[in-house]
Amino acid sequence: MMSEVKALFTLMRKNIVAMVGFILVVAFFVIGIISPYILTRPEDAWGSTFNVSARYLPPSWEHPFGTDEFGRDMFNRVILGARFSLIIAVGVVGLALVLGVPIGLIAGYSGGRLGTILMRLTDMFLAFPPLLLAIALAATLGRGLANAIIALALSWWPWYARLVYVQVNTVKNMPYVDAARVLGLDSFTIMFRHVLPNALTPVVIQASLDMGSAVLEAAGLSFLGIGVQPPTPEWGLLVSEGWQSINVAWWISFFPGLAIVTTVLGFNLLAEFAREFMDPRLRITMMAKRWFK
Amino acid sequence: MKNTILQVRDLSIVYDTPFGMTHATAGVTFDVKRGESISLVGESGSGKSTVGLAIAMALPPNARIVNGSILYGDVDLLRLEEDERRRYSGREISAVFQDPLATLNPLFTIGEQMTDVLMSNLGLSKEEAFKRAKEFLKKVGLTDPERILRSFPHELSGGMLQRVNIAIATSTKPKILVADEPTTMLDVISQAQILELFEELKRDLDLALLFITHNLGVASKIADRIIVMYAGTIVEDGPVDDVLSKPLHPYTVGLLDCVPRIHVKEKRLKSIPGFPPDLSRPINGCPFADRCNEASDVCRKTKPELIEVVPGRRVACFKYKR
Amino acid sequence: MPLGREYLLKRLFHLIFVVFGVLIITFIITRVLPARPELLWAGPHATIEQIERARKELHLDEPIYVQLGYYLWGFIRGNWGVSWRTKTPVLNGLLSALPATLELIIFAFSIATVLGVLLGIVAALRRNTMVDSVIQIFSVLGASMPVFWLALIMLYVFSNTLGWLPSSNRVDETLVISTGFHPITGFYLIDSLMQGNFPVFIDVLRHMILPALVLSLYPMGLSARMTRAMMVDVLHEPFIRSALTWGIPKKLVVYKYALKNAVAPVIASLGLSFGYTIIGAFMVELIFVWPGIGLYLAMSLLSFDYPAIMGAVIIVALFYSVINLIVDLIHAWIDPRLRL
Repeated sequence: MMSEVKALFTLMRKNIVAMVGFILVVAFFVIGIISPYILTRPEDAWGSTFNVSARYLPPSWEHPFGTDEFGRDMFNRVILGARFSLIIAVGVVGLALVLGVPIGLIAGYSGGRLGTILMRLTDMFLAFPPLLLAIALAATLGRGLANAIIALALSWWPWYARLVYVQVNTVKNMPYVDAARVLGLDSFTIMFRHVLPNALTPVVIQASLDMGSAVLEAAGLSFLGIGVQPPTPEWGLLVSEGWQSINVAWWISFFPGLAIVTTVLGFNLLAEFAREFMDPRLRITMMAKRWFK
Repeated sequence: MKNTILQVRDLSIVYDTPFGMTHATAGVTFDVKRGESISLVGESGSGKSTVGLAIAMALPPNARIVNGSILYGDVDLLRLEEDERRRYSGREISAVFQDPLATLNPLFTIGEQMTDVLMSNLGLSKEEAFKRAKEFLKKVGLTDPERILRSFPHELSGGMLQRVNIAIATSTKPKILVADEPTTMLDVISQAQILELFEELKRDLDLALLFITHNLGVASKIADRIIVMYAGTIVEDGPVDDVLSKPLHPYTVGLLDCVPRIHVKEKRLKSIPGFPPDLSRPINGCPFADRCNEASDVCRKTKPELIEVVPGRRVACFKYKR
Repeated sequence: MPLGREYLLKRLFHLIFVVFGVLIITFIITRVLPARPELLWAGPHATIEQIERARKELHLDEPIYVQLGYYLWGFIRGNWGVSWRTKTPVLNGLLSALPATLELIIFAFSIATVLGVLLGIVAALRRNTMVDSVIQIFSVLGASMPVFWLALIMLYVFSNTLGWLPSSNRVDETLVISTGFHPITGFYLIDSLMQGNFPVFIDVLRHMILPALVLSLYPMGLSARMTRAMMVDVLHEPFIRSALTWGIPKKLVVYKYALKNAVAPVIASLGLSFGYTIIGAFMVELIFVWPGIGLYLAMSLLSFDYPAIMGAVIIVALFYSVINLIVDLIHAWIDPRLRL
């Protein structure tokens, strides 16, 4: 285990891309968690102020990201927005895992008829382009943060179910599972000690890296008006709030969007690196001095 | 000496891995004569594959040549530029690898791949290449060459695929063929057939064969000369019958001891005690020292040189003098 | 290369099954999930009579399977409900908006895929160098940007501030009238060329370039990343090393062999990529006021026009399924191992 982690950091140091991603993701988590406690103007952030004299102020030392049409400081709003994005990211991915993993496990482990039926069901959900199902669900369930999380999770779980199914199927046929069975271990132990950890590791990694996409999709829903509602300072919502005033105050839309980009970028960079690291063959080539002879 | 076509001199190669450096070979030196078939024998990690890959110019990207040279005529194969290397790869030196399915591109027909090899190396036209491809497929014992040329790799069996690989590698009539455990993944019957095939080709094409294997039985059948490797160095080499009947190096002795004999009643299978050394550090002294029951102090401190005790036979062990 | 009748039939059955699945799921969402479906259907400003009428129309007093029957029958007959916002049938509204969206998506997607794959190849061949890092960052950036934000920024910079490009619609109406342009296929680029109407052609391009570019960034980033990843993967495969050992020149190995092996999974992922493009089109159409399905959907969302929302959802899902089928067929054509 330790040597794996050491190897991970050796390669990461060599790879600027991965390092940058790592820093961004850590920053996102940290800011997301502590943001309510570090706000300089909490009332602005939570949206309850209306300061006529401070409306539409461009970025300055006092207001690094400017102010919006209600005179609220955008910097504070964006910082608080990190917390909501974090809640959404964890909520969506977590809920999708809770829904999808058991189904994938059952389908994969029992295989045969039940497995095929469950997967066909999953396929039906996957027939919708990403986010479309979430839009339909959000339109039906109503707006708000909770509904947005539920809508997104309901459109995401099929991915994880399918991923788990494929993983379990692969692992099930691995020689070490046969070996365990031959050694006399019962199904239960085999499932929990051997199949599960190996099958779920890629899924968990994928899910962690998917959090970036969750932030992106939630922002999209908010922008279309069916996600988070004002005055919650979710980044997507902030961008849409700035849309009407874009010609007089470009900063209202710009900075929240920038926050989204940086966060999602961090996750995506890590995902790129993780993909290559996971494959042992490719890991070797990360050390190659002259690539491809 | 004019019969010698390949000279490997003091070859030392390491692999860079995230876990550190692996010293795959250290100071390997030997010659290959024209038409000679040599078997490179050793356990996993002995460095035999690395030597073979180096000669075939097929080393993975994280391999580094620390020292040494491989001379083909007066050209050092290790220090060639990209475009010069092509003159020898495939044309003069070719290779057959272990997994016959993995070494063929699944998206292209056998015919496409074979003709590309022939057209690139010999400058033939497409029709000429096709004809020659058919010819060599027949040579390796495949009965319906036209159908094979039209097929995709996943449509053929393992034994057939390995024959196809051999056909491709030999179709350019190279002078040296490196075979890296070509029969390891095949069933015993196919194994025997492929070995026979190699013998035929050897005679037919006047091919020097470098046959890498961990199987002593296979080695004895196919080779004129055998080179035994351990932990990246050559410990013994010589004519195959001599070495296998009268082994000199303690490792070779131990290796042969391990081979179970049907007609002798043995209670337990023998093995050599201990483990191969950790290759992430350079080794001081004889690499076999801590498993050798005849080791002495000098063995642990100094590395024994590979010396010719009898013409044609070399050993790297302090037990023997020139 | 023949795909085999059996395989095609199998895929077709799968498509029908998928379409059925889409309808079932949307049925559950629209009729089973909500507590009072007729409220959603009649809209937020409906009168009591309208709500009662909706109840009858949706056959809500009958058992579920009867409702399902009416639902499916309604769809096949083209009765997708009436948009209370536009007071016209939903299906008509969707069909008239379809060409605009298709033209935009196809244009954007083509740019995205071609450029993306090229960038991916270059990055893979120059792995671990500066070029690779730049391309990687660029493509990852493209895949990290919210489309709506980028659209707003581009609109602000190029249209409002610099005034280089128009900010809305597909074509200048006055130009259409003065040159006598009329749509034939609904694809203005093709139509204008067919009529030899170059001023309109240029004008349509001017209107399309900004939304298309914005829309193409995400799939371009995805394609580049995937192509790079696949190329890097493939260049390690044993059959590449053996090809080089057997003397095939590096250029041929890379551009003929490795490329095909790398592109196969990229093509498989194009379906999903296309899905993202469709969703991106919603936002882009909204911001650039492009009269397509995305705009129709976005406006419906803003005004709670439920029948229109669901109609748009269904038509997009159906379209997506067809695209996926096509992609799968192309993939099987390239990779013979899939044709079993």
